[in-house]
Amino acid sequence: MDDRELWERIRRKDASAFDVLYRSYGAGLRSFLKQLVGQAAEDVAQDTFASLWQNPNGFDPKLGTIRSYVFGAARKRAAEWWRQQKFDGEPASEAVEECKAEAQSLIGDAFRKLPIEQRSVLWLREVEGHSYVELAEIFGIPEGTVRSRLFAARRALKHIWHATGQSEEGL
Amino acid sequence: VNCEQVQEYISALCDGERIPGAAAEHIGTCQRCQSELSDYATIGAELRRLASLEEAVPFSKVDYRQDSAKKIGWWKKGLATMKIPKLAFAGMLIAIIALSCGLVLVRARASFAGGRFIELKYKLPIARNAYICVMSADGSQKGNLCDFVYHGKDGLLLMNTRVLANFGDHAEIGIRVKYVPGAGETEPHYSEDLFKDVPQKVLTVEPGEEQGIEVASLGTVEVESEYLNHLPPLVNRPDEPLDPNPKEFRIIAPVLVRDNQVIVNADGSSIDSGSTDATLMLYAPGQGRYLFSLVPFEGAVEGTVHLGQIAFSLEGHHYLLLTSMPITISENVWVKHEPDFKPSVRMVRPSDARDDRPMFLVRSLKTLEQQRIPH
Repeated sequence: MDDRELWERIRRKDASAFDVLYRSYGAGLRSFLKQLVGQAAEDVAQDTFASLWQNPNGFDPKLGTIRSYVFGAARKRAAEWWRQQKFDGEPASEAVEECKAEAQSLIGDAFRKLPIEQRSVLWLREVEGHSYVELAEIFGIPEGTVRSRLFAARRALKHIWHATGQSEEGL
Repeated sequence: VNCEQVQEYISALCDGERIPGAAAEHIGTCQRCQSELSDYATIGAELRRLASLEEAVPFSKVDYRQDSAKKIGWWKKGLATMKIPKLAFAGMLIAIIALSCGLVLVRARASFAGGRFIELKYKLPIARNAYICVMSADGSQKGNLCDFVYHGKDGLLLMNTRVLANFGDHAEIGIRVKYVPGAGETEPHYSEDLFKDVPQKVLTVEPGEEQGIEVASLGTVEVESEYLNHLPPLVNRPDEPLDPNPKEFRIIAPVLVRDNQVIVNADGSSIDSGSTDATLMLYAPGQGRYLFSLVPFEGAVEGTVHLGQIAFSLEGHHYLLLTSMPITISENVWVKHEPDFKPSVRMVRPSDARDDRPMFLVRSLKTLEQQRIPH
């Protein structure tokens, strides 16, 4: 089933088609969101899927893939979640702090210190394997900017990672 | 090509992108750049390893058909996404509301029966200047009337105008007009009785429109109407500002107080705009006349002017002349009291020559010192 057909069935409220979508991208989406919103990843992922189910009119197969559309929607949800945290006056670092306790490696700690835009683009590229074209669709930026943003993210992460590692070694 | 120039291409190479040949050549021969490439590759691998660890945690089955766990209100969303300081936004909001209210008020004013006042401009066939009446048009019975008298060489024109109804875009005006040819010295005293036998003409006036009223023995009096949202300082001269001109001496509705007792309280106005020795003559029945001049003259004492007040002391009494508008730009006037003055003896025009009622007139000092004083 290609993207166009899958989406057409979802638009017709075909639950089995939506399950396909969910199974295809659910785990990756949650993993991606965990890098962005920490423990709230489950909630934001559910919000994202619920939103896609309730309003299945935003995807245009001519403009990109379902995968980039779903991750783009999740990225926007994550951004909304962050704004909401700031608006509610909750400490913005709380979720990150919780994540820290679960961090499995130094790279995880260093990664979470990156700005959210750099985290998003690098994760989607390295983990989800999105192409430059898809990343350009997800972030609404030119491909050249995708390349420079990825470079900036890698260089920043390398700097933080090495600095963290050196400090740990010095202890 | 140096290391710094190829840094971005090293990152692109990690992503499986093609890069320019020169950059590829440099990276192939540069230890530092190869180390960088290796670091980036390691970063990617580490991130994927991290993801693999996290994805090992089962993803709970969510019911995506339910509403979102937490709806974000548009107002909260708006505040959260606001990119200008909230104080500035609040100020902008207040300004918009204030401006909107202002617009509503202006619109309300404009739609309030077309305006609170109606200005009628009369052009007489026997006079060069137009004569203006401003009347209240808000439905009140106070100020909706305008009496107008024109003393011409060949006769006397009397007009009595009243706003009957205001419909917003037009109004109905009741006009009684009478022309007495050759009135001259024998002019009648003005009173409403003069119009007893004159039928009222109802005129429908629309702002900006001009129409004519046929007056027997005179011809056509042209009337032009306009709506006003405020009462001008000088109702017969709507374009005049509140402050008097340098050579102007204005007296509007004067009240003369002597030792806290009102001795004159008159209505109407009199203005001299050109004389260097402009002088007010104020007559009080049984008290004679008071002359207030912009120039010193024999027998006069100095008084001080402040906006619409003139204060002076004379014959052991303290006086205060009050008017409803600023009188003159001069800071001083000279005042003289002539207790024996009788209008019946000195005034030429019959309507002025009455000893039993207050009267005031602004003319040049020279004119007012004549034995027979013209109007």
